[in-house]
Amino acid sequence: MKNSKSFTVLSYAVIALLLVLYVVPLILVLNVSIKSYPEYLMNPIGLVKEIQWSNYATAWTEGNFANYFLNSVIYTGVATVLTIIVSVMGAFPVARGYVKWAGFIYLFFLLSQFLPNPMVAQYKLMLSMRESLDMFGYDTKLGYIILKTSGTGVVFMMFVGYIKSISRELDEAAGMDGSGYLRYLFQMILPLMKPVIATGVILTAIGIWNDFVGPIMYLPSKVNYPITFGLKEFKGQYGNNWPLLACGITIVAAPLIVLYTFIQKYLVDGALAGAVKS
Amino acid sequence: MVKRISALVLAGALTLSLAACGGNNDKAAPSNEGGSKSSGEKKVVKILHWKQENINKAMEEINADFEKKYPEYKVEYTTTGPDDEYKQAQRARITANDVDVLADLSGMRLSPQDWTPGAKTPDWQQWIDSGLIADLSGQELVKNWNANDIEKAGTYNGKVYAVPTGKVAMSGLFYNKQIFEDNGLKVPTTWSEFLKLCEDLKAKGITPIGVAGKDVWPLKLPVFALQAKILGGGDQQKWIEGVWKGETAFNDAEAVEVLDKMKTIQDNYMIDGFMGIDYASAPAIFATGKVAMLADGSWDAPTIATANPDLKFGYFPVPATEDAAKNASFVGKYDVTWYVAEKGPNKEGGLKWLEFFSQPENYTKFVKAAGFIPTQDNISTDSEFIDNELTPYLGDFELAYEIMMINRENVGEHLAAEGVHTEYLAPGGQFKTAKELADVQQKEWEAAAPR
Amino acid sequence: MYPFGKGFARYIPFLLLLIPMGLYLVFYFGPSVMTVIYSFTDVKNIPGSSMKFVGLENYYDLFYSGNSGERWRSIINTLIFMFIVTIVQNGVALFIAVLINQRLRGDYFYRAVFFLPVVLGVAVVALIWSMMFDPMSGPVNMLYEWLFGYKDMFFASFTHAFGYIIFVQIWMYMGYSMLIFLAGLQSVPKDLYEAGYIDGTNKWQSFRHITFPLIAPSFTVNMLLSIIGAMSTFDIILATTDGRFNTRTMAYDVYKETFRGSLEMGLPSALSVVQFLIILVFVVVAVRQTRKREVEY
Repeated sequence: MKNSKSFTVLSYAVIALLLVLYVVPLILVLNVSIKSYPEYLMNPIGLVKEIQWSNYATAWTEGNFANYFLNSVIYTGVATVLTIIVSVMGAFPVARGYVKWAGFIYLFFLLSQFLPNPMVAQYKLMLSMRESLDMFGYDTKLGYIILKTSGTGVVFMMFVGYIKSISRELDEAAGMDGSGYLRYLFQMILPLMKPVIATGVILTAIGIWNDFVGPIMYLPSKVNYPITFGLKEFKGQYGNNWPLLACGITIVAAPLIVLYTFIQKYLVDGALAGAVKS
Repeated sequence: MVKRISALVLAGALTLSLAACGGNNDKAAPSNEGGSKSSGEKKVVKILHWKQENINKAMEEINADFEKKYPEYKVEYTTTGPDDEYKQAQRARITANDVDVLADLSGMRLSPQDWTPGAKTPDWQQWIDSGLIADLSGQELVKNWNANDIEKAGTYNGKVYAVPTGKVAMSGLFYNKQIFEDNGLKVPTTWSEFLKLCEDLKAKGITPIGVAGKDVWPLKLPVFALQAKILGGGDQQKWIEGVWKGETAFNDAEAVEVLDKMKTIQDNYMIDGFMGIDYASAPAIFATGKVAMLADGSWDAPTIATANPDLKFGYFPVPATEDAAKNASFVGKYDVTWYVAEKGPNKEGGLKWLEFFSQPENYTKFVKAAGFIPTQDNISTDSEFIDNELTPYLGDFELAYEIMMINRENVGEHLAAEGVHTEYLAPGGQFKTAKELADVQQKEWEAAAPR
Repeated sequence: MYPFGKGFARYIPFLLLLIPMGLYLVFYFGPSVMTVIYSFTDVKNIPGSSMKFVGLENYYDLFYSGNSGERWRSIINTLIFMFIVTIVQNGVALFIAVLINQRLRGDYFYRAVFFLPVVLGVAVVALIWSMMFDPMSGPVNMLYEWLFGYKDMFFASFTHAFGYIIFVQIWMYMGYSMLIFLAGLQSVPKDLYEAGYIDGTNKWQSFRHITFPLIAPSFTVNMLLSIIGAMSTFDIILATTDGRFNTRTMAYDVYKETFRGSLEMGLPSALSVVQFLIILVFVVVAVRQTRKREVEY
């Protein structure tokens, strides 16, 4: 289809303007992160003159990132994988109607998006679990991971939408061949869901990696701190030592950006699934 | 998970090896009466505190010494962000019975009185009433502390529950001695002298006062001076009781004078954009000479000294009235106050730690680093700052408004957190005059009256 | 109908479904219901404390006590936040999605950049903008001073802080909405446009009459996500102003009252319930409106 020239030019102009709004803050952070503190005080926004890579090393140790990093990798990795598995277990039979009242279950799960804020009771629940089960619940890694694992959120809904677009005949063919339900689910369906799983992974991982409210409530011990707490170590101690804080920001953000660059080409397909069926 | 399993295995192995050793080292075998889970491991003492670098460092040293002296214990010292974040952590930990020793931001305060019907009960009191705080009365360690301070800040219903570790002055201004000297200025003793001083500084192109407005609470500090010297004609307690009984009011002449004087300072003499300065960066602004004075508590003296070791600075009370004699004393509070949890994982260890902390030589280390006025007798802090700047004004150390003012439950935001919130009068705030704010406060106070 | 065997095998899907169901019931649905129950009690955040029913007292306290003015302002703030975020975020996102969808050079790059803030997360985004908006040394204030000779207090301004928070919220999630719109747009068959051109419709008309009805489902999804998101967001407020400077919303108040207010848990529970009811009303209205649109064309 033809596009008028002026419209195209206008499009580029608008996009360029927005790009500035999105890219400048990020460049600023990178720029500040490699300034020495005195240079930052003299000239907070100018281009860096003497690059201080050592800031990153300092930030890494002072922010205690080594331990927190590992914790966050565990939380994010395990809870994301569990969320994907559990969501498939829920989404497939609901999308296909292989369980009774599939429509009702879908709505019931959808309700999770706007139930009354469960914070108060959730907190009490975690405490009592800790008391009776000890290695599960409040202030345990496992407890936090399970709390963050959900088979009913946005991921579940995207999966349902996507599975509906996979032909039913495939099920029947597999059933004829005598394939079991579980094997079919994880060996046939799961690989077909690649784009939507990629989307699910990135969305879930974002939520857990960047969570800083949940850990305040449920992970009070230093051994359990996630990576976002590293940023807080700077806040109290250094006030406005922005160069180190900027390094901290970069350290926290980098791993997910890497994950994102691998996954991003699937994102639209995944979102498509979310939009097809609401 | 893996860690826990390996810890269990390790614990098991240790118990076995201990059992194998037989009875020849009875002492090392922990008696386990503190309810600590581990039998062979070291017993952990969990201490909760907030971030304040100078104090944290001293605490870490004391904890290391404690572990050295009592090798059967291991201290787990957790610090969180200050203020609200700390409050949240404190609460979470005590609710979960997951702490042995915890700090509070001040000594005991705000307990409802017979003249405060419907006042809210502070957290510490609810915890004690629910049996969550250990009774310290009769413990040997209590005797190390000044009896009067314990009585004032650590006693409830005749029993000792807390140890206040020092007093701080809150109502003063740090001042840069160099700037004062260069311009021939001296410490003001009356309100008009103070205004004159600020004008003189301004005339010379020097910003008079800095304050960390972004955190809001530092604005309370100079107000404490005004409140203590003006309300009730210098008797805050009388005014506070009056406000409950309807004899005084938040919009009476004295209360409006307090707000008005603070407004004068905020409008004319504070650094431009003070509402955008956060607490952590305020000491640097003062230490680098950008302002001649800084509204801050005496606890920040060590931090200022660290920010610029060459800086010569002093501290004087904000002169609230025209009566120099009346002005010449500080208002303050008890700072870091330790409680021991009754139902924590290791109460016995917590008591042991507090006892160790209470030893004069350990306490001296702490109080020197913290810059507090000691609450143990015969402690020499060797601090020039305390001896020269604080002591002259300590004649009758009064508690600040926020420590004495008992609030009604669900009181509005212009009175919340036991303050009068002059940030609403700051340039950009929604009230143009002190009276407007005062009227709203009185209305909110009446609206919060018990039904 | 069910192709994977009979008898016991018939129950396998159901048994597997029990796992997400169980997690949901135990950790979300159950606590949510408990919160509703708590809202009628005087439950305290103290271990071993007793609990009794107090009827509607917590609700009464919310709206008829000394600080009920603030409750109303929180509600109004929440509504302002929701309306502006929903409208602006979706408007901009739709516009950008349409632009990107016409196969501009570098569309992958734009898409990636606009989605990046979602990846960064609230803690990081809040810090980045605190840095940009630092009143003393931030670049935005320098720009303001250079352009208008005026300096702002940003997150410490009684009048502007909330506006800046709304801006950051939109900046952060615009890419998310854009992505969903893009997905919707890509499902629109290209030949439909060709047909439109032959009829001599202009760009706006073809968007209004052809594209929009077809992407209505993604519109519904976006509306719901941003309404629910905006109504329940508090982390961005926590990380920028901590509720100071007139920036409190209901969701923030729930958090604040639960963990930093008094030890009474009844009041925050009641607040959660009120918040839920308001969300419910708007979600129902939004779904009805957008559904109508889907059918109309």
